[in-house]
Amino acid sequence: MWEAFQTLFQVDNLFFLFVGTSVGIVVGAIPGLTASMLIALTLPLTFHMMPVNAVTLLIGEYVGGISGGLITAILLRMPGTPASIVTTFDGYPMAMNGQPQRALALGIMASVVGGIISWFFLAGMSPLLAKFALQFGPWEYFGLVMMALVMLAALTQGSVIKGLLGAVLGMAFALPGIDSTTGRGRLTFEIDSLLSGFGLLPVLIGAFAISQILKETAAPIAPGPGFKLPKGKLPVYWKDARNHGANMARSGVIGTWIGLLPGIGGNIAALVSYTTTRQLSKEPEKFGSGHEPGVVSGETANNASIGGALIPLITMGIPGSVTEAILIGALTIHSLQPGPLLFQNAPEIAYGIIAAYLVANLLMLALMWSTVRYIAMITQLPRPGLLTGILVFCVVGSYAVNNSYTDVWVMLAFGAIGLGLEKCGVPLGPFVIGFVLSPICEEKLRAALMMSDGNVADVLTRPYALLFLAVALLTLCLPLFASGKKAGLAPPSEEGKA
Amino acid sequence: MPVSQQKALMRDVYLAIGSLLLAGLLFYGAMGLPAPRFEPMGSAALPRILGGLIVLLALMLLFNVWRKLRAAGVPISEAKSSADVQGLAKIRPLGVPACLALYVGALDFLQAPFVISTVVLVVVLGMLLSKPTLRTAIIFTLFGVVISVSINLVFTHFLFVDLD
Repeated sequence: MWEAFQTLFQVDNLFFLFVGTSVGIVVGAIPGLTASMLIALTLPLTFHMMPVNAVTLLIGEYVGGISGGLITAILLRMPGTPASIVTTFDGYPMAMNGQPQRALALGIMASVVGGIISWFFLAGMSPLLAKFALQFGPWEYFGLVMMALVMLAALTQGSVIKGLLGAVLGMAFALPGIDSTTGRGRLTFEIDSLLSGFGLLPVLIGAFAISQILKETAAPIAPGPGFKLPKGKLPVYWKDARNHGANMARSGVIGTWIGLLPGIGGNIAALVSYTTTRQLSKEPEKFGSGHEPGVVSGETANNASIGGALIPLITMGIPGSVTEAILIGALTIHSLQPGPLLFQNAPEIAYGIIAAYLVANLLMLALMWSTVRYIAMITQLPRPGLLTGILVFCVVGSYAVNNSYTDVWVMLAFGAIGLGLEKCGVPLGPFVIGFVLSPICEEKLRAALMMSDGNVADVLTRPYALLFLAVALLTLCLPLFASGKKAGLAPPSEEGKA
Repeated sequence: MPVSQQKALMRDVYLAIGSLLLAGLLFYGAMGLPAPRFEPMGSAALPRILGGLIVLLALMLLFNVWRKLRAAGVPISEAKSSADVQGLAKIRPLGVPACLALYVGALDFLQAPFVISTVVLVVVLGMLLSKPTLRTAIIFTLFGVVISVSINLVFTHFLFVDLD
């Protein structure tokens, strides 16, 4: 770990971490632009980078992207990212009551504390979990992948059927290409360009960036409401440690553990933490009207969820959310396989991610503390210029992957598919994670069946695999049972958005 | 039943039909794949499994729609849009993707120069997304020149990707 910090403190790595965190904060602060979109757009640029540089840049963007959302959540009641929705409950009323700086100061401090708490879990648990995961064979991995997919599909907000359909459709789109076992084309329909399958990057950029921009352009584009932050320092006091310390510690732990579970993002972590804090409070009636603990609990938990979500990513190669799926793509691009062997084969990357996560949080504190006033101004940039620039960058980024316009057409097609799915209430998270996990799922199942001579009952002799499959089954059955009891699987309206 | 709910039900029907078509494509593609020889599963198994799951979920979706329509007792043909979208906002949902497809087509099939094509795209999109005035055209031309030249420079000289 010490060596990872030494590597991280080299000038180039620190530079990329600084750039990633700064850009992440700005993008996170702009409503409509998310950390996932930013990371997907940055991936083509990382091709030519050293793996450690690429990882530090992306981790910086992730931390900055989630943290930046609090600025507009507090000042404009427009959460920059879904993870900051809870911050609007008390942050905006505080700003309206003449305390915008106090709300920002508490939000920034809470974000950093949440990040640090989850870093301890990440640094402490990851090497041990990775060692444990070394015992896993193909059945265990198959069970784990199924569990992650089903949890993600079933626990996303909205219809369970649509969540599952999104995951299965994503898996189906990963099928075309050369079958690695037989070496023959599969579902290519004699189209040569399909032999290499759909590239991960064009699919990610299309599904996340293009579909989001097309959705934004279809809506009326009005200039954002302005908010001028009064001059003066951000007020934070030593007594805050005493007043909010327990809340931060509890919310940090809640955020980390919720982040660990696949499919439950920072927004749910923040909401659970906020609800818990309100239930434990002696003044629950003050929540929602500009109460400081409300801002603290939400912001601590949403940042802590990042550290939690990174644990299954680096120890088992299982993405907990879309952003982690994109990070898996980034590691794959650099010929690195996330999972337990990452600690043996590329310790500088495994420990580098852990070290970069901590330093990115500290950098985020320094950057947001000193520049929050200017970031608030950047969020007022004209939308048409911003959207046009991103569209051009999407095209160039997809083309740069293989110097091929086929990838650009694939990106446009997946942009249309993503937009269509969202219009129909199908969440994009399970779709993209299904696409990423489909090859792993098939590979492990085929290997497991080969090892057991086609005997599916062999899984009964593998307790961990059975446990994972049982959790998957339970996750699937409980919401279906519950919604079935309510005499309706889900309203077919605008729900189901990831 | 409110119009918005009827529209949502129609979207569910479209989703189910699209999913069933995709499942059909999976089954059709799997038919031409060889039977497993050296392993139990074979390359056709997953397309068939996923096709089956898609059919099942699409049918559940359709059943859900049918049940809701039956409960409401309103024919779906009554769904009418009351939204009155004005001016440019009407063109945008189709205009932006069309411009983007034309831009990529020009770069791919006509091998149009990157900088010029990008400036044209930025100006057209800029006018489509804001107001079609001379001032907008000038601002977006300048913006287009800056963005296209800088992207071209970075990609050609630092990332060694030739965009032309």
